[in-house]
Amino acid sequence: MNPWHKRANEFIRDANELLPLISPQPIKRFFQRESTRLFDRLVVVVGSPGSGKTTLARLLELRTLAAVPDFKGNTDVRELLASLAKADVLDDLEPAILALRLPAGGQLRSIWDLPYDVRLRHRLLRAMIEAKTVLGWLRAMEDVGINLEQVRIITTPNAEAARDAVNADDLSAFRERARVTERAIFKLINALVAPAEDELGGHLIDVAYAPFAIIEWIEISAAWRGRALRLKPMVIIDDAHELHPTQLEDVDLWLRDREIKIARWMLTRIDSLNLEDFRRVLRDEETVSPGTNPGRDRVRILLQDTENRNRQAFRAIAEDVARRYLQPLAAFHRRGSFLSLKTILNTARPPVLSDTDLHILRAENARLVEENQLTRERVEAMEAAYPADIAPDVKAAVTHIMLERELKRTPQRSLFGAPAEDSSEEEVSKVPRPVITGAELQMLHRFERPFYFGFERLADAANENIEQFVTLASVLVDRLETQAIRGRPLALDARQQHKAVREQAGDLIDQWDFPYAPQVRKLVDFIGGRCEELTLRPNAPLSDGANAYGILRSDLENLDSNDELARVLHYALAYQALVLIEPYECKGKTWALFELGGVAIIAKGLTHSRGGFVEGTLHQLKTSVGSAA
Amino acid sequence: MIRVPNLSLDDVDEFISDYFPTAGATLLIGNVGFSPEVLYFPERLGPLSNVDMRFFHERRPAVPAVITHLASEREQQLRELSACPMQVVDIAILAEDGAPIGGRNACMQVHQWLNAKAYTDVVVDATGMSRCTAFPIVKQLYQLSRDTPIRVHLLVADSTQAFSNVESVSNDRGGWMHGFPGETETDEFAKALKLWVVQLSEKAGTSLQTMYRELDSPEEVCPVLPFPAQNPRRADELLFEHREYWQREWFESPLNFIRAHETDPMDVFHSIARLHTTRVEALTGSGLISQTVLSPVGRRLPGIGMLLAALSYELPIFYLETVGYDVHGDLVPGARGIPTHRWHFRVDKLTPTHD
Amino acid sequence: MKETLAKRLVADLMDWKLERATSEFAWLDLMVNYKFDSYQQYGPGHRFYVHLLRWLSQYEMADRERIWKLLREHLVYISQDEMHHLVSLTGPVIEREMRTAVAKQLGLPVYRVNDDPKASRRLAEMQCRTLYVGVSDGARIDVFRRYNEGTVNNEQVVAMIEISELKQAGLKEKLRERLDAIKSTAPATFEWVCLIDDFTASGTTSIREEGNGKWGGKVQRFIKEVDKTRENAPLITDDAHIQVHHYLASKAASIKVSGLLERFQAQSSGMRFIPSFSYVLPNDVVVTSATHPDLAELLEKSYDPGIETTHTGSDIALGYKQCGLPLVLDHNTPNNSVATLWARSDPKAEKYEKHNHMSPLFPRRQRHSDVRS
Repeated sequence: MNPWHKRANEFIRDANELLPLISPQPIKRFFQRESTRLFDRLVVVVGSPGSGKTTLARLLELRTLAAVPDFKGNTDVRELLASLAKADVLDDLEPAILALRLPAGGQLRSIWDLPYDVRLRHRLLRAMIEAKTVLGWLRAMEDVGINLEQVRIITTPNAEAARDAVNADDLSAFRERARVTERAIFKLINALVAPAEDELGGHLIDVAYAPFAIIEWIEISAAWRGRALRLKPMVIIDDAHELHPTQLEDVDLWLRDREIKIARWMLTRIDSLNLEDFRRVLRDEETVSPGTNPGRDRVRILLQDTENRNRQAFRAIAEDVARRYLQPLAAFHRRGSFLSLKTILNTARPPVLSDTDLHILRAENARLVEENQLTRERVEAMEAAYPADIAPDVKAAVTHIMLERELKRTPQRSLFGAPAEDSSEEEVSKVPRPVITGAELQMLHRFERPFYFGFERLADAANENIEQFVTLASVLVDRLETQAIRGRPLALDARQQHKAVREQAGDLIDQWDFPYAPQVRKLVDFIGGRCEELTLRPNAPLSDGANAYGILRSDLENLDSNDELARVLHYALAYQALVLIEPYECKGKTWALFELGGVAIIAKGLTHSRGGFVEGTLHQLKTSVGSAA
Repeated sequence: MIRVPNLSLDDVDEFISDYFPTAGATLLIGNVGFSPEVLYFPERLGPLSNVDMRFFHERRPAVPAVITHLASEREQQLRELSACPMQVVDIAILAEDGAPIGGRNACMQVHQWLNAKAYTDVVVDATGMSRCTAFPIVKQLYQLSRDTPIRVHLLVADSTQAFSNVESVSNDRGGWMHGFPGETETDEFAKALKLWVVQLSEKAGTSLQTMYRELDSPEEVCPVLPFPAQNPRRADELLFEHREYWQREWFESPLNFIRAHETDPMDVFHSIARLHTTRVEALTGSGLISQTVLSPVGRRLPGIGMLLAALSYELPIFYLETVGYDVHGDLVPGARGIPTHRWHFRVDKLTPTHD
Repeated sequence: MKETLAKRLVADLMDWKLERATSEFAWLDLMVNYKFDSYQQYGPGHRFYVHLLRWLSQYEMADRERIWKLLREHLVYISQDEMHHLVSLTGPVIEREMRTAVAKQLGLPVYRVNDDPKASRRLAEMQCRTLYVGVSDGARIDVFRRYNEGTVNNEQVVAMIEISELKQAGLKEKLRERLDAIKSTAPATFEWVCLIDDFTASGTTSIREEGNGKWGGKVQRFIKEVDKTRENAPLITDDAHIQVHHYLASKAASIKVSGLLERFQAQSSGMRFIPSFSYVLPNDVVVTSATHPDLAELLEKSYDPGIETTHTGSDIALGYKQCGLPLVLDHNTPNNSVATLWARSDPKAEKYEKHNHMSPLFPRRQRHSDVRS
């Protein structure tokens, strides 16, 4: 089993396989954030594919939690279990919740297309969600060996009539009642031509089903695990963005009701919110409808942190993931010790330009020195301010930039070429790191000097998305396995790493297959092209260059949600081809930045650090995807 | 074994010229597609006075202008072929939020056409029609034919050189084909073993992954390899292209591959029928329930074979909708000649044989 | 040989860079396990990798990339499962021909054969009166029988062309029983014969002109066989349809066979000959000096004439009769394929050229009692 090639943890059915692969930090952070508010009200979790939403859901499922006692002594899993215990998901290593992950796609969405009054359609959807959830709970319990006779459903007080209506006293009757509802709605959805509303008659009785309003706890007798357990029933509606917006609104309204005692989450992708909503969520605003208080009724959690990007934190997570994922691979166990991907990648010696290329650079520098009419001392002083650890080729490239800058800066020159005065007011200041990076990027484009190597750059390219990290890193793991097969040392030099990762990035972009993918590719090409241009300017005005396209926020307001560009952006953001950063204050104006996703950055050969952007307009973006009016 | 009355190549043309002139009121349902084959059967049926031609015009959001333009030209050409007044109806394939609704809309429309007039024969010309509209209406008519004497014909024409530079852009979420839902959606069958029979096609990796995930990791996967094929290495190349999926994620062994002719729907039908019936037989009495799920991906003709299998054995179909097209280079409309492949199926006569 | 070691050696032989090696390893992983190692002429201790290493090393370093291409980009390997699938296609092919024949006999359009009671009775009768003959081992007549259980009776199938008089009588007896069961009064002779063989690349094993109006090949042998009893106890009707079916054929062979059968028919009384194929390989797989100049040149220059036999004739670097096929069948490699795939040099052969000693990738089991020429 090679976890690098299982695209996502989601496919791993066996809890025993899954648990050791989950990196505990993100889980810990998640539960810490909202600890007291996660199981008593509606929680909406927003994240892009691969951000870990579904892994989270799977983690909470009964079949995973029921496996926890097997991991009692396991150090790899200890931290994870501690977080779960702290969040009241586990009670002394036993499950404290009974969660059902309910995918919202397809069938539930189809309810919207039935030719009925809106209110009826909402009723059908709610009833279907309730029926499926109840049935899911029952199946989940049976799957872990619980006999339904050991189960008691605890309902809220003063709910006898409602309790009878769903047969809560008799588990088999309880199940049957839910099945009748599910069947009835299933038939309606899947009829080739749906019956007219006035033909529904008897169906509607079957469909009157509302256990959520009364169920509070599920009790399991000691027969199962040696002591009686009380579980908080929970529904996790996954991929909620697949519901129709009106459906989603209704479900949101419904589940915000504090009278509901079961735990309920909705997992959704960014593009479920239209661009406006998404931007509002980023700014942490809420729309208020009468009688509700969204802040109290609902918690919204963004799984990707676009503003306060913590690169260090994610690098640590990536390292942890890499370690867990390499465990099953024999090639990485060497004589008792265990190699880490980080060590392997970082041991690569930095690349060097060929003598020819270095010569070209130096010759250019010499010419620039002349043009600038600088003295050798001046240049040496300038170079002395560079960090001590940089290699000669990088040094030459940085000098190139500094000299170009000097050229641009110096106003007039004497016509007779008299040497310019040493501008004594110019401090010989230390050259900041971004300029070094900029120099390296320029050498990448001019001389194909490898740039994308080393563990940190790989982690930074992942947009804090574990799945993206794994996909990018998997090519390196493949190459390392080849080395192992050939009996060679487990190492990849800078060029090999760089090449593998660049190719992979290109392939991933080619493989994008979702609505508007061709246009997203065009957009990425356009933005990437402009950024490359800016990055390659000899005087490196933005030091390490640009990786984003910025338009004025006021310009973005002009985007109509029905515009094709709006749809293209939806999907670009959903699949992290682009990342939206706004508001971004710069030069006294407020911008909206469309930063290229990590994969695109690698494919285009740009910097990973945030902030450098090309100024542009909404209109230009529209033109780039071919949809300008 | 279920028999499917079928005709191919010139036998189809012979049938059309012999049968329809003296048939009763006939409804021809087609789609205004952009390939030239779309005109082939209407050319032969349109001039008949007992044939009413009704066309869908499938509408999708992200279609390049050059394709829309070509489709409009087709519409005009079709009008010129029709003896009786022709109707073209827009069918939205996707709702505003991107959910697939083409099948439901198509069935609704067919329902209206059938209510407007009594027909003895209905012909579905699936030549230029997407699966999401063709399959549900064929099933609708098939169901109708069980209760009424209506005769249902399925016609398909295809050529090997059709628009190789046009790529479909897939939706990023899958669903059951309208009318072909999986029983596994309901509690009774939730624990049934899923046997996923999926057509392998070039550049379909992302689609395959999406479907695999949304089918909740089916227990068994049977990739369908195109063999015989125009390129004898095509099946091997597809296996190589998709090795990440079937070797690593699906954990399938080569024993689970089935082969079906690249352009012969009857062979696809037979291969699936054999697989399904053998499996059902093997599991009888074991207490295990198995559901065979079909996913047509890629070229049209094998998909038709899957449709026939789905109708005959009541199998569900899971798929990703095509949301648009990507055209590389120029769109050169092909020459109008005799299509390389022509097929006719009598859908109302799918009957079990008695051995 | 352990796979890891084998891959390492291949990579060294080919001098692959890291990226190339990674990709080619993945390809080898797939093809070796899925197809190559099952080759029936391999055995324990000598499967694909062993042969591959030997095969590659016979070529000079400078030529290895070219010969690798033959394997990586041109080879067509038909596995047993694929062959079986071609067998499964046969039944529908035969049925289609019969339907057409019945339609013609009764002057009906083909589609009416099912609906018309007279026509469907005729078809049923014809299906009863059909004899299926496996013309060689490769015909896998047992597999054919399995795929057609229910439509083809065991007593309609024979595994070889030679049918003794006793056997013929037995077949006719059973035929009578079948006809009685469907209440047909047709005579108990076969009106349709399917001669089934697996593969043809030259066409000549099926049918060939031997000069002076004489014919050879399996079709001819069958006619001769049934001619023995024609006078007193005919097995087949005088105007029988003889369908000559191959599971697999090269494009050139399919054309040849069809053409020859037409000529043969012209010279035979009454009987009708119908060629059919489950799969015809496209012409673009064929290796010729015009289409694949680099490869052809390499094959010619590395050729050892010592592999020639009386049967194969000379100059077979591109295979018997220069068919140029890059084809390997799971149970054996046809000698119509380029020699480098299947030929093993014999140092004792008269024309042996030591510096061009040939080692096969997929060794061929000789089918003819060959004498080295």
